[in-house]
Amino acid sequence: MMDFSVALLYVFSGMAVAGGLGLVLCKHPIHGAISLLFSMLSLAGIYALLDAHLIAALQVIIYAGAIMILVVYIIMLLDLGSADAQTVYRKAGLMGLPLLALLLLLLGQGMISVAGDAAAPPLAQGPVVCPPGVACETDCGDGVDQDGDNMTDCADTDCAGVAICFGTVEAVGANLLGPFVLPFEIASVLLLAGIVGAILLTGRKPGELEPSVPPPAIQPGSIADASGSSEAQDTEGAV
Amino acid sequence: MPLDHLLIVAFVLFVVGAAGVMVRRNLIVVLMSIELMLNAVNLAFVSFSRQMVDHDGQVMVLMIFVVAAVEVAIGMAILVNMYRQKRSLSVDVFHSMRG
Amino acid sequence: MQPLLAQTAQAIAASAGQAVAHGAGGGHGAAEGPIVAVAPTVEATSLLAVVILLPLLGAALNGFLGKRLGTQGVNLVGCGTVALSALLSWKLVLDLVQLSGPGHAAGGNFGLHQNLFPWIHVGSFQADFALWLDPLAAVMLLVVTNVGFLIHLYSIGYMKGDPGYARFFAYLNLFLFSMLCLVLGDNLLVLFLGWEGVGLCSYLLIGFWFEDRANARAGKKAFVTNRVGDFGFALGMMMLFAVFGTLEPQAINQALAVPQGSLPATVPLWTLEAAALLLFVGACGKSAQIPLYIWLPDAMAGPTPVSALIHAATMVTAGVYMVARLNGVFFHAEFACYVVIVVGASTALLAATIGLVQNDIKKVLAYSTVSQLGFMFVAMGAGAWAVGVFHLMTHAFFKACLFLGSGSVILAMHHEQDMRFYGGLKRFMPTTHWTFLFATLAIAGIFPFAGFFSKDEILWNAIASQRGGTLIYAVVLLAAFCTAFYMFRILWMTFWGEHRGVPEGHGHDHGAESADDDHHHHAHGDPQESPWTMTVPLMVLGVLSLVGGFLGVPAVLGGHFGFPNLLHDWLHPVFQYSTVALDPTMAHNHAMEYGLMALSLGVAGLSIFLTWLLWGGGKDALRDIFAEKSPWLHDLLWNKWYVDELYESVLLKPLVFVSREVLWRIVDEVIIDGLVNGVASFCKQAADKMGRAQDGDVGNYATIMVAGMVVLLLVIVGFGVGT
Repeated sequence: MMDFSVALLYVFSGMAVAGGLGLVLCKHPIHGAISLLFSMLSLAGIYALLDAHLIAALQVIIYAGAIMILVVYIIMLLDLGSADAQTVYRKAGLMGLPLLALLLLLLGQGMISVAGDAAAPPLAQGPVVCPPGVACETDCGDGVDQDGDNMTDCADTDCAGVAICFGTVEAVGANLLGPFVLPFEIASVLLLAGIVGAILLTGRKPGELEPSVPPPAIQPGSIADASGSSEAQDTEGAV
Repeated sequence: MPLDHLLIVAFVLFVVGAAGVMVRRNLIVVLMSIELMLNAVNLAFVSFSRQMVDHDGQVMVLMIFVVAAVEVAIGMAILVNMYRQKRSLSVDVFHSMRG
Repeated sequence: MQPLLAQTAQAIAASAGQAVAHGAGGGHGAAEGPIVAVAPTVEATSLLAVVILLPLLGAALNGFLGKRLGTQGVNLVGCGTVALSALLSWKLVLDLVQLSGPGHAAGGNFGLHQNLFPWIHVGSFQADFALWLDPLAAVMLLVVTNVGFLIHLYSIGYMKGDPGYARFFAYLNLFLFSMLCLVLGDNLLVLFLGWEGVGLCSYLLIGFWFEDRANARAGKKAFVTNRVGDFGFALGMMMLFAVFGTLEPQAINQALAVPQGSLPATVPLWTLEAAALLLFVGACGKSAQIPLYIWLPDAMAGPTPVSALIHAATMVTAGVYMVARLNGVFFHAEFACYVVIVVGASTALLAATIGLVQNDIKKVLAYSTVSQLGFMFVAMGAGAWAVGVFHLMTHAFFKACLFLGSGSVILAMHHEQDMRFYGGLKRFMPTTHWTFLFATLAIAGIFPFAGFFSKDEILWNAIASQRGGTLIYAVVLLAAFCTAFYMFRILWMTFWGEHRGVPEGHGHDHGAESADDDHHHHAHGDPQESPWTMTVPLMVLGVLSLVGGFLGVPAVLGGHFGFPNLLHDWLHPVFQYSTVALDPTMAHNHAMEYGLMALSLGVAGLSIFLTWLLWGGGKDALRDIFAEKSPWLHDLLWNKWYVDELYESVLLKPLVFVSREVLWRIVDEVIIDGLVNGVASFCKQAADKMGRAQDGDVGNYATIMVAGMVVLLLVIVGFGVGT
């Protein structure tokens, strides 16, 4: 059983990396988006196998369900693809790839020597052992608040390391609304700002129409001319 | 699965995402590559959270979810506007902010 | 999981206990033996936050929606939130009384605690936004909310028709919120938040009529002077954190609950002395003591309710409260206490002498406040914390009453503040007169008014405490003499005798409040009594000035009749481990105590007799003799001991000179400008070259960022940084 889940982790890891490569290599954005979706679902599997159940569920709902669908929707709405097909890659960017290889090497060298290669410790199964002289939640599955701090079972931080609690909605939620309540509130303000910003950016005032004559699409060949003229303007502005 | 293998997966995903940002022209793909990098960081957080049996890393992942959601919402809104302006989403078209 | 506070307190108390046992073995304090300090009894509550948030809500509503609410709405929000807060505070204090019952507090301190949210958790530094109501905070809470409510009510009448009506109430509510943070803060950081908040509100309200340049300047002066004190306060706070690893006064006091001289080895005495002195610098700024008192008289530029609430009853007593809060620190820091008592006594006398000759009614009361705060610091320096808090409370009653009374007079006299144009107002405004008389008797220390008990306790402790002395007593007694004199001088010049009135053609350029009197279009007839919203607070405060003292009847007076010293017993749990013992030769000398009591009453009586002679007895000529015979003394007092001029020539002039001649002409123009211009031209040329890297291509930016990451990782991996 243990071996099977570990093997599954490697399989999901391979799928996640393959999905990521697909995003970078696929020429059409919609294929890239589907690859990324695939990668994210694999990551959700990894999270579930790492006992982060809430995160796994949210990965499926938020990333795969909401964010990626928005991206796919925008790709379809704008009907992209064919226009950029012949110019998928930047030549200048390809020259940076050795740099990335070096980065991967350094990350592996630097951080793995610190992190170590130990497997994750097994989660506790039985009752919680309290430190001497301090009351705590001993049984995390009986629906009774043993230490009388108004936190029952998994919602009590005493139960954080127990198998039936680790990574559950209750346990993460108790953390989120406990010591991290201020970041939590700030995150909600950020979301609100995001909503307002998105509406302001895309919404049109009543009566305002789509520009009737779109500016001419700039072909790759004409870029040099356009950039040349704007460069001249910029130099003037700088002086 | 030992911690270092999980971290290597995270690093590979991160580097693949960075490569996407560097080499692709299409701005939507660039944005998706950034999402992939964020996911790599999330994986590292969850791995450490499991290794240390501590929920703080998972709370951090939730925060990153929020930031990613806002980023995509705003980013897509900006992309739509950019497309309206130039009828293209190639990075080569948008380089008027040069020094 | 127990509350953090209790855990910390227990841990520190445990270590302190060990240290004491160790110290006793080393030959210290063997006679007293180790005291095992009883940990505070803590009970959680959820109402404390409501008490502080109600005024904040009021401030927000009045501040943002004031114009739409209309006058009635502003009144309702401004006074209603404070009234609710005051009612809640009574309920909480009743809960606290329950908690003090037998079986609950096993001899230790006790209080209600509420943790709102974790504020700053960085490494070992833990500061929660937590509130704590113990007996000491309860006294302040009741004073702040109830006197605050009365003054809000009074403001309805006083500020009627002012264009900034809603703004005024918003500031006033914000002030109450800050003051409650200060009073209820469970750690010094929350207290400091309130400390700075009240400073800000004070600045905003002094300069409330900011169209007048003088008012804005007075606000600035208060702000800058307070900044000097706040600097000391912040340093003292850091020092305490460095020593104790916590900023909770409860934990600090608990760790210091040992006999004097047997401090735990982890707490060197010099750190306590230094921390106490630095904190006292902060208290000097906020509570207007020498040398930082100069802002308070100028602060009278604000509307009179502000003077009553902020610059008499509550904010300026914050320094006294802070010293009482950290009684453990000041208990051990004996040298710092000498500084406190000397500064307190000197301030009490200096300010009282200046008050003798001022003609502006609010200026006299302002110097009186400075002087009375000096009295409180004498009690604090003598180690009689409960006595200082007692005087703080009675002072809040009678000084608020005096300021509100003066406001009533000022309104009736169309914002004329010069007492030389008053006189005989008793006939026109009887309520104001009687309440003012009560409060004056209280501040002069006449039996049985409130001030008699509290001031007499201070005088007694000034001579009988181990940290006091005869000289301190003499200085404070002289200050008490001056107090009775200048207060009755106000009564004679304002309420008694003939009404002189403002002469025709006399402009309103005397009062600092001249800017606002366009909207007080009363007919310039006889002065009239103020509306009920103003007289009711006056009457309540007048009655409190009469009976407030019975909360703290000293044992020597009440003991025979079985009348307990209520306030003293109530505060005992807070101060039990830190009260400085009286001098053994004095402690039970009742004859001496009675004698001194009679002496202070006699001095006050003599003073009142003198004022009758000068203003009431038809001996007007005598008044000029003083000015003629010793003009230098009169000039000295009239010019406030030339302290402002001294600061001007010693601090300001050199500062301005150095700033202009050295800093501006040489440092700024030659060195800094040269550097800046050089840097600018260098940057311009470098930017022209390097700007080419900014080619506007997002992919290239990403490549450069990756290169940066590689360099950072090379540093980390290659040099082992951070591993």
